[in-house]
Amino acid sequence: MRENYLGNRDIAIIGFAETKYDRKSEKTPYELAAEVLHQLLERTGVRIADVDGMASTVPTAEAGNTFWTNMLADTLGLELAWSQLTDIGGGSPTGNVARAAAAITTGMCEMVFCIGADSSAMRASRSTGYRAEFVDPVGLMGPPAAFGLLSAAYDQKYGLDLRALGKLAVAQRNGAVVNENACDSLRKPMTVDDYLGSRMVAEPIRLLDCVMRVDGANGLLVTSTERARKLGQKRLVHPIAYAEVTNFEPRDSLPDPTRSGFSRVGPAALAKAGLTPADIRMFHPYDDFLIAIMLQLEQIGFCKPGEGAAYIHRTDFSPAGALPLNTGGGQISCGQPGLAGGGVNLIEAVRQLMGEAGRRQVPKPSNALVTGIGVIPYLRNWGTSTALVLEAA
Amino acid sequence: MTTTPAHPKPQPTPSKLTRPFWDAAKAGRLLLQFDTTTGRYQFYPRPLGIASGKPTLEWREASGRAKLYASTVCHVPGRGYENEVPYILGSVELDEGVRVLARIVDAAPAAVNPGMRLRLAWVDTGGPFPLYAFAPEG
Repeated sequence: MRENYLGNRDIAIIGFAETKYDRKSEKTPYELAAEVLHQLLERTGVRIADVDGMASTVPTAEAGNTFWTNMLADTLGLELAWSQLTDIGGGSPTGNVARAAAAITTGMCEMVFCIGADSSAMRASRSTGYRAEFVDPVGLMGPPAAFGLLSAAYDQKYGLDLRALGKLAVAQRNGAVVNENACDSLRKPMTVDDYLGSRMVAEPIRLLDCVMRVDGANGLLVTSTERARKLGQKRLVHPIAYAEVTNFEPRDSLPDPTRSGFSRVGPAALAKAGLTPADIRMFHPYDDFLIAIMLQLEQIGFCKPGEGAAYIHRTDFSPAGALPLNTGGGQISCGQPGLAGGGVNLIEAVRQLMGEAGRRQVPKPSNALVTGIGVIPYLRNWGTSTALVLEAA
Repeated sequence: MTTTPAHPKPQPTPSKLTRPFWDAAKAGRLLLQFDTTTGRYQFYPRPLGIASGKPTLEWREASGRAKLYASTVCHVPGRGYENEVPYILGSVELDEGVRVLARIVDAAPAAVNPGMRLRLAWVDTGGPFPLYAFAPEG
């Protein structure tokens, strides 16, 4: 394994920001990104002229725009020594923290604006490649049907415990109820029976297994720890380890879809950080579907494969519990702001580590494991898995 | 009950690479790519063998014999399938050792089980090319 370039705590996140997650905001990704930049500058006192790097996710609303980076920089007034557009779906925001850290470490820039902004309702992206030719014509209704097939495979191998998934849904919803940025239509308390009784989308995937698309944006300011100290920044969060895989085990034509890249990147990121799952103070897993959380618990090593439901039943995921999980509601109860979705749980982790989570604050928030998931491939598990370990300074 | 007019079903637009596949579909033949370097089949069609990285690919006709790996009953339709819910989609494992995403036809959801034997069928989706599907064997 290469030396862990994050291990010396030389990189610091000095600010987080997000917009309200909302349906039909009538705002463009540019406007939403500007709200996040403004919040970050106000919060940190960093001057706009000091931002010299930008790492963004590709918005679905701008999917046809091959000049997104330049147009966003122009709109916001940013002069960039380094820029990065990441298109590994929901793995992009966590991936961008690692990319920004690498750029800062190698001296390409000093202060990076990490931004995800999307108004998914505005323009649907069109399928290309094998999706247009071998997926859409067959009638696959996007991610829910793909997760229906994945869930069926899990059910055959281990048995699917819907009440365990329901417990995850309720734990996340409790977070959204006290999260003012969560989409208002999702901020109502719910029960396991509400989950079980929600209408079927693609068996066994129910409506309350799924994320709902919303508009919104989230972002971070990332710089060197040295620079952060010089600027007098009070609250720092260090990214201390990261691992990523895209297109996990692509040469297997008969893959086990209950296995994903987390079986590799979860243990890898923890090893780089010198931690075990028991050392993780809180877990902020990417959640496009509830079963994805359970698979991550198994594959990262919180429990063994097939034992996710038993682990879920015996674990308290509330902010006061043994393993606080997506304390702001996750995407499933906040809303998924398109391809900024991978930032929702990342921002919540940073908010917790900076001690700014208010009524849902986790006591002694020493570290957090944040993950990203990106893109549904052809009849396999998801395409990208990312694992980022954060530590409060 | 009112029927809302459905969108047309999405149709494949063959590329130079996939044109032989869709031409064969018109003749009721399901083609797979076979990599002569590795001796392995693959699906969907790609420019290189995924296990060799070489363009040592030839088209071979699938036997049409298969078993169901996993399935889902779709209650919310994909575009163009508005008037067909509920319908069944399967991850279908061909005897050649590849999986294909396809409709499971001529079967009630309750009669569809993992491991069941399937045979190749073809459906008309309103475009120029028949679409491969699978039905219970026998």
